[in-house]
Amino acid sequence: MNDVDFMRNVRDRTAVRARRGSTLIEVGVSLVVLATASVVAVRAAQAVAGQRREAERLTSAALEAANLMERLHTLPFSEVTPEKLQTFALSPWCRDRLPEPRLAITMSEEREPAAGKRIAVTLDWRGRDGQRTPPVRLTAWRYAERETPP
Amino acid sequence: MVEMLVVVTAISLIVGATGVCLQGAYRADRRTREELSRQAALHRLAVQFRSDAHRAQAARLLAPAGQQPAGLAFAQPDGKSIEYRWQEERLERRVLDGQNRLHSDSFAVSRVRAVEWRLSAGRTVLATVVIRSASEGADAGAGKWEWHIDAAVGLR
Repeated sequence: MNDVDFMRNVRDRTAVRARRGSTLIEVGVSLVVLATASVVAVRAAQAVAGQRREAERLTSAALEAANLMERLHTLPFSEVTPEKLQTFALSPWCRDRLPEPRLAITMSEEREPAAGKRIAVTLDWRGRDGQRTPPVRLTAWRYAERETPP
Repeated sequence: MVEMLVVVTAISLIVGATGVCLQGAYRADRRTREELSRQAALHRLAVQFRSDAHRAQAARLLAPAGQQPAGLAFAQPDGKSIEYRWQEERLERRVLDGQNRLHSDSFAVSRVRAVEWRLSAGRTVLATVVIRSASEGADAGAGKWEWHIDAAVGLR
């Protein structure tokens, strides 16, 4: 082997070694990038799923508050009392859906613009962060003059 | 040879992980769209159902003899009637003047297993529609839902 062949041999080996290192490094970098992207994607998907669940709970709570108000409207005006309102409870389907739901129904008498009763339904539950959520509130007024015999 | 095996394994992992991520994202997207669509339809139904019930003078169940109610009808003060029915996988609202159909409207609530119609007795009648979901195969249980819409009849 002369000097030229020797040098060529050394150069070829170096090139092969360089290509091999390059391939492994590229794959390694790709794996790291993909792992990072996967983690981000999974976290994003979890966040979206959590928000979807929370939106569903909010819809359920709003629907249940409206249902309660409808049921309250079936009471005669004279029977709309704080004691009677305390007998109203959440439906089982809503209780199953909301974590640790808390319902409050309050009533206050009003004289203006007409003798009436202000009824407020408030419903909250435990959110994803473990804190109570901002409540769903629904308020309606009942007036004595509406109470005409059917 | 060893290098090729490492590269092929790594690429398999990359492709597999990408596939799983894409499938998960696709499923999440589909469920979110479906849920939003269902919630919008239910909200629209609740508003319309309550509005019709409040304006109605009377309500009756549409029940063929000896069968479960197939729907609910509200008699309106102007002589028209409004019927709600579940048929052919759609929740339909029909405005009728006698036998003539004046208007139809449908609510796209997907994957419904059963719809139940109720009328409570009392001084003020309470009309209720209960919508229950179908099982979703592997997701059965987690994806099951039930919605109730109550409406007091004749509030206006």
